[in-house]
Amino acid sequence: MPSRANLERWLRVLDLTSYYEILGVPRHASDAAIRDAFHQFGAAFHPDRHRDADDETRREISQVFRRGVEAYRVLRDPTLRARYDLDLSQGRLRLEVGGREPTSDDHSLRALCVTPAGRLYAGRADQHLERGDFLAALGALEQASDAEGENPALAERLAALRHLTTSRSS
Amino acid sequence: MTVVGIDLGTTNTAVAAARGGRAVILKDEAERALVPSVVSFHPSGEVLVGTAAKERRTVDAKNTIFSVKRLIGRSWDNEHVQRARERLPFAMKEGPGKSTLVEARGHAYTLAEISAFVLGRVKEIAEARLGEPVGECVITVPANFNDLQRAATKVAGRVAGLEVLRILNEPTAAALAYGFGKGGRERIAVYDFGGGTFDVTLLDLSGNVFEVLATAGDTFLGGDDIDRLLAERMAEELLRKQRLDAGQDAQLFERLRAAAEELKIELTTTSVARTTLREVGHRAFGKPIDFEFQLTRTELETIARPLVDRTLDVCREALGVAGLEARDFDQLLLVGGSTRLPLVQSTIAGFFGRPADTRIHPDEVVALGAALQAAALGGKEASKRRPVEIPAAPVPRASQQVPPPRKELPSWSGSGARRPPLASIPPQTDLPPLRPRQRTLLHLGAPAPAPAPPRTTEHSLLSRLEASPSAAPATTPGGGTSPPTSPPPVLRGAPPAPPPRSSAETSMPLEPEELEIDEPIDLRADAAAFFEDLSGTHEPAPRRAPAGPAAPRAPMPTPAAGRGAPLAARSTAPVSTAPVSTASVAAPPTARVPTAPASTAPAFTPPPPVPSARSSAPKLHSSVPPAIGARPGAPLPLAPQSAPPAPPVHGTHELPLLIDVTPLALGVEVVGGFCDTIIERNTPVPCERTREFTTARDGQTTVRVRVSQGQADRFVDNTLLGDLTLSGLRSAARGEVVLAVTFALDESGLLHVSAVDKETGASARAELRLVAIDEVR
Repeated sequence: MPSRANLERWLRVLDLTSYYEILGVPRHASDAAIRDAFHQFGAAFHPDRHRDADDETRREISQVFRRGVEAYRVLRDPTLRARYDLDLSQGRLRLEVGGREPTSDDHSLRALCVTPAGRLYAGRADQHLERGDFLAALGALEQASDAEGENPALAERLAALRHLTTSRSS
Repeated sequence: MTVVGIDLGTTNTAVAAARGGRAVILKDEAERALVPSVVSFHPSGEVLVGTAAKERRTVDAKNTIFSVKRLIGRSWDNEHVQRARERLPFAMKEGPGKSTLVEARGHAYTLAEISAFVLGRVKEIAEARLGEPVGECVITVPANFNDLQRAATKVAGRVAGLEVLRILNEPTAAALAYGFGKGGRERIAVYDFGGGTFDVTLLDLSGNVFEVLATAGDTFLGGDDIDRLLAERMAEELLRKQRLDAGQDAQLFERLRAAAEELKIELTTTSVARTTLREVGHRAFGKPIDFEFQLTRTELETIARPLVDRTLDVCREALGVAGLEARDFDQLLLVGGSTRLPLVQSTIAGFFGRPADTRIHPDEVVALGAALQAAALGGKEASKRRPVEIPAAPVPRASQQVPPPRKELPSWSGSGARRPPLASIPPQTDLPPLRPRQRTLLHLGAPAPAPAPPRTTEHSLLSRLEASPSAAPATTPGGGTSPPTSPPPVLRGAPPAPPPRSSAETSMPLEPEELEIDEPIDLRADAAAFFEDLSGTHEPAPRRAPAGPAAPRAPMPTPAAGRGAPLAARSTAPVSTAPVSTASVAAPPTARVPTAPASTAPAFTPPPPVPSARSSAPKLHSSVPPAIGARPGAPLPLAPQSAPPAPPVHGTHELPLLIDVTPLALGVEVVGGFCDTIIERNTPVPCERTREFTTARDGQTTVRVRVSQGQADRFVDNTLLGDLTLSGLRSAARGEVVLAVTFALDESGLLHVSAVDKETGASARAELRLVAIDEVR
């Protein structure tokens, strides 16, 4: 069955192909060409096109389709596409977004701190955030960060909060 | 078994079925297309649904449940639920898992159970009309519905004994009903202003692919709000003139609200309307008080304008997301009863800079679209579907780009790390059997993926060169070309063109008997007439012969029972009861047959021969194309019912393909109470994203993550979907266990989560406990 063999090849090369290759468009493709290519891709891989296939095949087809969606989402957005082109030139085939999140049941900033002073100020920042007072939270978090010294997780939150407050005030 | 499409609305519900690419509304025994979404618990113990229940609203307000769609899938502490609780005349209380229950006659019901009564009723109607059991359906929801609201709707279907094959977005359904079979390219804006919700969806139609570009909405904005504002205005006047406070009397307020709805409808055609409510109260000695109220259209528009303006804000939001201007659209579709208001029509036409398409029926188009999608997804027709070919896989030419292996390649997929440089992979023609992804990748370290048949495109000279068998495998990363290919390159034109097939494979089996079991004659005739209007070629198809002259849309039908069937209300002639006349009215558009050029839709079966029988009254078991099947000019997605065999169908376009999007961003709670977006809004579905999570404590074996939908930066400002618990982790030092958690949205927009330990490859147990609907996924 040619389809089966093709599908298996798709699955095998999925992690080895660029977004451009998945959609079958050249690097310089226009937005319209990318959209057309995605429609073509969808006509072949949308799970609705394979309602009669067995569950396993449908799951696999869906996996390919979802990767196509990932490709399309990036390539149709000029900002993401520019970032991706840069990544691609460095050999990264998928656009990296977000980092690794440490998870615990405690989502407070306080829980991120190790020094007593850091915990105190971060605790205040938590309270300000709770009330939606971003500026006061920023102030408290800056104090916490000073007290903590080297604390990448906290620094990351501080940067996020700074970004948030500046974007709100503008 | 036919799969039906159901438009489960805030105020009304409609059911439709499609065959041979044509959909038809299935009407109740009184020929009404709409079933009011009202459930009333009668003192006799009987449960009334639809029109009978709606009549009980003004006499038994406490035990008559309506507007459930505004509440479904919302948690008890949701502000809208709390506000609705004050306004709605029936009792509500908190159920398990912060769910909302309604109470009537001493029993508590979940909101899904109430909706299930309505679904059960339309299931009954469908079964009566189709003459067979109905077990599967597609249900539409507002595009802006979140996961919980979709899931709750699905539960309602299940309770009613229906398997819900798909939760479909209402505007998308409308666009499908409008554009299916048209071929060509169009950019469509669907403005869907219903009884309780508002949505705007922007789509690109190319061929039979419907791609949603953007969608936005307000799930708490609808025509009911206009009624309520108007009723409040009436209550003020009643208090001023008669010293009667309707605010203290739910029953009385309900009467005002019902009168307000009728006034609103009347004012769609007249400039002034008045009403008299008898015996709203009693004076001394039992003398009854009557309440007279008069309203002009201008006054109504003053009341409604703020609400209409809110819809424009939502339109701007959608346009912003899509990066489009209001004037970029070829077609504007108005869906939902509230679009009958002249104020809405003029405001929206002004906003989009074009008049709306008035050929579609705002109350029925969603159900018809749902039926078309239902037919495409399952049932008899789908079983005749030709399997879609999988095109050849691309040949990765990443070798140019992939640098030498690193300690850890950045990846958020959980797989794909430690990827070997492709250039080092020797050719291999005999492919190993497929393995789970991670093992496959490990396997790739040594020998290698064999080159898939080259996938070249006409645009890419480079890829052609690379696909050439003479291209030597490169050995140096960065300077190499591509993995070698053993099979000779096959140049293809348009990317996924399936290989030629035998005519036996491609021609569709014809089943002329298919429509033999069928609806009553008048139903078909009506459907045929309706489809003339819907099929949307360029001739202005007159809706129904004697329809009102200039009015872009006939007056709003009163859903109230006494006012007659909706069709009669919107047309000046009683055509709904005269099948012969509808059939003859349908005649003019036959002229359209030659105007459907094959070139616009080469992939489609040509239209069946013009059924001349159509101008006379159709016969029930006619062997010529029956009226319902006679939609000239419209390509048939499946085997036509006409006798002459259709030429082979080419391509994969005989069924519509909907590429919808998720309306809301999906995020998780992170430190500091922020929301970290995992899947952005407007991402096509189905889709997935993988995010890594680590443990925060030594020996932590369970990770709990809160999941929400919404655009806000602060987690609490979004709608909490529920708690995701990842358990069964190996005990290790803090930060050592790294879980790759995949969040996938399915075609219905429902979230599914899976998790894998990156180090061991072992799956963790992922359990998503949803709030409000008390369900674990």
